[in-house]
Amino acid sequence: MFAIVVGDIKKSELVIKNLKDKNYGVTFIDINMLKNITGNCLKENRAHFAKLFIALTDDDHMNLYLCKLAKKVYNVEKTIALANYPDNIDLMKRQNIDNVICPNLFIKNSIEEIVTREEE
Amino acid sequence: MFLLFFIESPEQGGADMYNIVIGSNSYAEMIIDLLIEKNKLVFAMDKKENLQRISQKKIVKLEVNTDNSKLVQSSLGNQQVESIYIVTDDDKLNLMLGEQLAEYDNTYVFLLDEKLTAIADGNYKIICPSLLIKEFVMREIQ
Repeated sequence: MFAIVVGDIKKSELVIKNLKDKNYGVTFIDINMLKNITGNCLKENRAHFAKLFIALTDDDHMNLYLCKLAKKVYNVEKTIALANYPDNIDLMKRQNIDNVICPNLFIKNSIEEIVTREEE
Repeated sequence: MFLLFFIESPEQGGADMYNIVIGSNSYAEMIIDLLIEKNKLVFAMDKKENLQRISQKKIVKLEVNTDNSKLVQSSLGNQQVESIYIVTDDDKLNLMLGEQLAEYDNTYVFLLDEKLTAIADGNYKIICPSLLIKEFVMREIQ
């Protein structure tokens, strides 16, 4: 199985390691090295063979674009996008991205849980 | 005589319709100038630092974080929108905002990169300069 991860190494390191542990072959595209990611870039990285595509850049519109491209042009089975703004989650889901993850929402929920627990 | 009471004056009937321009580049300025020429009401939306680039004075400037698509939509509030032009410097951002604002009639999304038109599937119209030039040249050749 083959996966492509796009983002910066800090955010992607753990994900890549985890995928490798699960026997995925992983290609990492570093957004800092390649500011303007285009369709050609996905083609060069054999996106058409990928089963999984993960977009973890700081820009929601970039993540949305890359996942749409992976899905529509390269028929990638599963796409996962990072939503930096919780407000963009609905829009991304409506655009047929299989999974949208939002760290800010995780943080908010965790803090809420801690605060509620302490109040009890 | 009674009929007179039922005829709305232009002021009452034509509630103010706003034209929204999202972005602050030279294309945005050109669209704003054209709209002003036609006596249209114009709202310019963008991030604070970008809005300062627009010199036109006869418009309402609205500072919005355009990276947040829902925030952009809610900034339109209950305004009567005549048209929306999405003209930021980033094609991918234009696409995302276009998808979010596709429910409005007359939403135009500006795309510099012709290839991006392949994944644009919202209910909006695309303005792509390279396609326009191609069309023009083909027409002239014939």
